[in-house]
Amino acid sequence: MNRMTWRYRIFMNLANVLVICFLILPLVPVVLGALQSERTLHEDVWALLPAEYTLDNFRLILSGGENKGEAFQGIDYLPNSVTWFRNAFLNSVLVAGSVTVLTLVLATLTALTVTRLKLNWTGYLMNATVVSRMVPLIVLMLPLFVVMRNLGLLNSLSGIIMTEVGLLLPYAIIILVPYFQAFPKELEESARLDGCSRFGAYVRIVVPLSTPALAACGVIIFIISWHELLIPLIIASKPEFMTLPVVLAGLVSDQFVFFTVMMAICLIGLAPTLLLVLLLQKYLVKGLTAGAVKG
Amino acid sequence: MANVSVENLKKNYGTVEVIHGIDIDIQNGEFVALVGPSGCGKSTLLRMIAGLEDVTGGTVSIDNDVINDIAPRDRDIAMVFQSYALYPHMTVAQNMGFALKLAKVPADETEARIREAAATLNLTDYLERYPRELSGGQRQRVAMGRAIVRSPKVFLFDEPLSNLDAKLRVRMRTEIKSLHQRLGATSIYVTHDQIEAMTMADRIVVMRGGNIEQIGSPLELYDAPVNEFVATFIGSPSINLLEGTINGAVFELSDGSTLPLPAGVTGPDGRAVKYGIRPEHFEIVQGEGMTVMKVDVVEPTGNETILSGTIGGQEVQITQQERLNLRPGQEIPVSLRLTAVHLFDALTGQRI
Amino acid sequence: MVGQSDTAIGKRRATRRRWGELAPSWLALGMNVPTLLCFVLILAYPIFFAGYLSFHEVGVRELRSGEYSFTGWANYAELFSDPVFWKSLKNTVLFVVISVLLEVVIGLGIALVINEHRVKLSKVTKFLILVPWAVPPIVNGFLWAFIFNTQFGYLNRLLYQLGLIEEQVIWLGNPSTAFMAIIIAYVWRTVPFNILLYHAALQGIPDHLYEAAELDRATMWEKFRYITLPLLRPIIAVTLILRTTFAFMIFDEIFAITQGGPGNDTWVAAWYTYKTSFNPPFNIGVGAASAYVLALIVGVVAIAYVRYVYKKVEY
Repeated sequence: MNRMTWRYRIFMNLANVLVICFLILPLVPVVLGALQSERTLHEDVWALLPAEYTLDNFRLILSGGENKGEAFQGIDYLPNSVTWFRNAFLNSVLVAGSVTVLTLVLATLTALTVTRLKLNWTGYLMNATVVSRMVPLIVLMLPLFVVMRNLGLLNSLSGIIMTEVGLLLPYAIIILVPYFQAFPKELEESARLDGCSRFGAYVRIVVPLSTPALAACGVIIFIISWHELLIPLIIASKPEFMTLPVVLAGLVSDQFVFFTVMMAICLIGLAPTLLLVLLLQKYLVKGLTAGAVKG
Repeated sequence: MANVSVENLKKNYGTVEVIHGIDIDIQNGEFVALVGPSGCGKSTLLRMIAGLEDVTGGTVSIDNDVINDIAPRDRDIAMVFQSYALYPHMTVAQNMGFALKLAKVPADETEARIREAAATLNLTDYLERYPRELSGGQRQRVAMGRAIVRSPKVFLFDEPLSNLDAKLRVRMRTEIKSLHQRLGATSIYVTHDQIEAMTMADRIVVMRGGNIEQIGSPLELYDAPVNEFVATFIGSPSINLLEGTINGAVFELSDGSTLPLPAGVTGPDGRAVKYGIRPEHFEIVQGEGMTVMKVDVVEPTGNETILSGTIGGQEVQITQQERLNLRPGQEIPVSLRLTAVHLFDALTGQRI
Repeated sequence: MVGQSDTAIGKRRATRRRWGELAPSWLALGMNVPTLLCFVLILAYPIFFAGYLSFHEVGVRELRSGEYSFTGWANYAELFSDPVFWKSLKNTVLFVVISVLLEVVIGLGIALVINEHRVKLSKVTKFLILVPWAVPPIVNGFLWAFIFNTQFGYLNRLLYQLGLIEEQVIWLGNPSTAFMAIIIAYVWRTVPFNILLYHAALQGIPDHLYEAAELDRATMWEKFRYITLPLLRPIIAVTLILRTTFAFMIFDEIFAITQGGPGNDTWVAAWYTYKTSFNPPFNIGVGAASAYVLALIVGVVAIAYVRYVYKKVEY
């Protein structure tokens, strides 16, 4: 295993280059699309690189349609998505943030009981968790739509948040359980002899020592919540409650007219999670792996 | 400081009973070791005293106060774990002061007590370090310090030396013992290592299969084991047990050779017994001995010599203080100290 | 000082009333109230309510009045007589099989590439592995819709520049290429998950196994075939089942890329439910029935997962 032949070395390097292309090449059109005007896009339909670069798409979106710049002079109709973009971005931050905190707290409490208290029914709870992780979302959305409608929670951020917490909770539990399982029980026992209650030992010892796991789990939940389309799409039909994916989805009918604007929104929409992923890659890998297989 | 007593204590896991109603009385200031092979229930017993395991039946009391239903945190008990269980996110000082902090002891008193304990344990220079920056022996000391600063009613030790290397273990053994002599605190010490128990404890509780086999001082157990199990568990190299029958005034081995019985022992002829004698109670004699040993292996350790061989076809080990010049295969006449011989019933294992 | 029993802790304990500890079962219950509430409200109740809806007439009028009339199996009858439903189901199965297989094969390939840590470039690759996973599914859909766009899509531009085409190819207007486009988009986004799991499992294989095999003069292929593959089998089983259940729920990419088109050639089960329920004529009863059929299929796979994989595989 120590020596590599030069042929093997070249082959493996080539393979790595190919994989890197596979991973990032599809993102290039988004960037190119976002950085050119609709006119440039249509003028030369064969060129790979645009003849002219512009930031007008971003100006338009970030100003909520006010700042039309050069590229949008004389265009009167603007899709709703442009007008509501800033609001949607804020909603997304609010929803994903709340969902992350709430899910993390509830999942921690449950994962602790499943791993540290070991009662008969916590085993069933865990099984139920694993199964409910796989219930197709669309099955839940129909009745939830009816329920939320009756509760008057349609078109509210709290309706979206509640639904997402319920949906992501099983996944968070599955990610956290292996961590808590591996946590040495002597530390908890020692704390209990030192003057903590059981719960106090969790709060003072187990949770502080599990911050990497909680961070990983939190980031995963944040990302999935940021990505969620179907839940807010069905619950929020009024533009002021739409999240970023829903506002994006609204562009579907406009895509032939405003492809470059769409790519600019896409780029801003994927930037936060892409950054998180690149910065916290190490933790995420552990969390995602733990979530699939029992640790 | 306090006395601890355990009465008719039982523990079930599901439907399986693992501790079958045991009684122990531990006096104020006493150092008691619980020994036995793994799975004998010694750790479970300790954890029940600590409150980390539920009591199925019977009582645990401290100072004649039943504490079965008291939370561990209110028992005023400190425990040193095998893995030390130091809090990795706290410095040595924080580790030692955690219990005091939870008890809302004033900061200056906490500080003073930590300093004092650290001085006792040679940890003064390490107070600001984190557990991961310490060696195994230092961690072990911090674990002890954490218990000491609390001045608890009872110290519990759960195999605290098992994770150390052999040399350090011997040193820590002495340190714990001298610490106990200085503090005089009631201590209960679980170990599977009979030497640790023998060297440190005032009294030893030998356990097997969830029952107590014998309670006594180290030398009592050594000199007067109540049964075959205690006899073999205590002492190294372990006691020799020769199988045979009582025949008149002598013990007859299966090959027909005989050994004298200790004074006062008679029994129905033909009773199957085991003849127990510790290795150091043999004497190599000139001329005619009580029996003849055929030497197979000679192992000099420096301070003594261990001879392995057979008497009447059964394996024995004897130790001699003198340096001997013996060849494997040689037959030597030996005598044994009859006052040190124990006879055990071959079926029940009880001492006769 | 040390060694005396009348210290602060002792005093505190003596003066304070001593409490028994909260029994574990009560503590556990207390800690799980919010979670159980969530499970009941957001997961358990909706599942039963979906069943209820599927046996009732539920449309716009009924939603307004709040009264649903019982219709027995009528919704299911309507569902099963709808050729579009069968087409959606067929498309779903086809989609699941192809995309899951691709995920496994591509995932395994890439995992093997990044597992060769002696090649320095693999560090860069590893760093980028999660990039597709970071892309929101709906963005991913638009991104590929842009690539496959006929008039100014980047695939056509690239192929033209490479001299492979003379005229613009209509990728999304053709049923089979549109279907392929969806699969490509979906697999690109989801394959990182598989790569991670395979990579983790590969790292768990001790080097000395390969060293022993090398002493036995095993070739690269033989090492893969007789050591790597058998040891990866459990994790491949995990991903097969997990990814299958998730692939059944494909929605976002369909929404963004084809909207089920051309015609209804790329309709899948989740899309069918969505369209029947939330587009005119808002036939939520039939939608619920179709959702239930999908749930049953996924449920069987999920049970298999819990039974055979989640409990047994340990890493």
